[in-house]
Amino acid sequence: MRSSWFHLLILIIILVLGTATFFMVGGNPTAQLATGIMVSVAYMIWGVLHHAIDGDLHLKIVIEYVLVGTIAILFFYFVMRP
Amino acid sequence: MSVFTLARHLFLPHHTNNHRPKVLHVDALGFYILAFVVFQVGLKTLPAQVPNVLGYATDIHVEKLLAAVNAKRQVAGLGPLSLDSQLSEAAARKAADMFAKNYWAHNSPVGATPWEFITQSGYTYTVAGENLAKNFSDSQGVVEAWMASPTHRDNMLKASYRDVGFAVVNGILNGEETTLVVQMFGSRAAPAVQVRKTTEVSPQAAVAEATPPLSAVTAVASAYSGVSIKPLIDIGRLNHTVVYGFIGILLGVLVVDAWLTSRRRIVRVAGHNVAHILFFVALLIFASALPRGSLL
Repeated sequence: MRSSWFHLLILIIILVLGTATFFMVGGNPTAQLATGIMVSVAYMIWGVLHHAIDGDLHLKIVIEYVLVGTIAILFFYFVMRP
Repeated sequence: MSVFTLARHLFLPHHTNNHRPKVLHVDALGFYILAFVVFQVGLKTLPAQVPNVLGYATDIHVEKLLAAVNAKRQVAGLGPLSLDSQLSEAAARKAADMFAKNYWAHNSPVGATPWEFITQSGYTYTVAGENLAKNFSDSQGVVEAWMASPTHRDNMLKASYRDVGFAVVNGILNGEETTLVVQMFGSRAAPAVQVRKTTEVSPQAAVAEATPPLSAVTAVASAYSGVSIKPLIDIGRLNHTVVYGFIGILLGVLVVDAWLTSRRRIVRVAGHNVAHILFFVALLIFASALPRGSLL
């Protein structure tokens, strides 16, 4: 349980840093798109590592994180219209 | 299958869905990706087929742009810019050139700089600048986006500028219906001395003073003094509704699922609900920070 909270803290740091960067590069759609994609990829990696460390990693879980990250990447790609 | 049973199967953990709401299953996530791609491709291709039905609602006019820019300058303690017919003509020619040569840049594919358009209009400058924007829905949105971008804000709030010209033009750029806003700044050179000092991307804002009448603008520029488009379905609003609605529903299902699985002590093979919730909340924050248009 303690490791789970530690992992969530790391995720929160990733998301907060990503959000701060996203706002800092406001006005530069390409940089915002790159930031969004990097945060999404970081999330996929975080998910896989979190479950691997917890010992419950399964192919279905990997696919789930990849699909959730892909939804976010597509959102950034299409909606931002750089 | 009753509506209640179907809703429970889709949105709540139950033995019929292996204790994971069906809308969170990997095959459902895959379906969302496919549907989202089809939806977005449709939004990019259909407006050309049915422009009056599906398009981007736009209401951008030179008078409003000038008033908004001068209001920003006033707040910054700067004097207002005067609408200059020659700069407006230069902006109009630049916009026409961007559509004709199909580019989105300060310099044209053949190397023409913004300063050449200004010079060709007959405006002799000591300092000049250019701001570009495309695909915004209203005048205030354009000015606020320029203010949010340091380089564009520097242009709008540059004390050395005295004049400004605008062109607002709708056309097809890179295969998409696009509304371009070209803003050109300048200060006239003294008749005896002409010093060229160019600065890319610079705006000014100024004290709320009377906006010069559009009749002062040349015939070329007046043809580009504003764009008003009201399609039956506004793509911007439709996209906004779909994206926020989709993320909102997923967030709601994830929260309920997290609560129920914790309460019922359900053990299953699935991703971390709290992590997904945090990620989608971040996505909503990103979405709220996205301007509709682009700047250059």
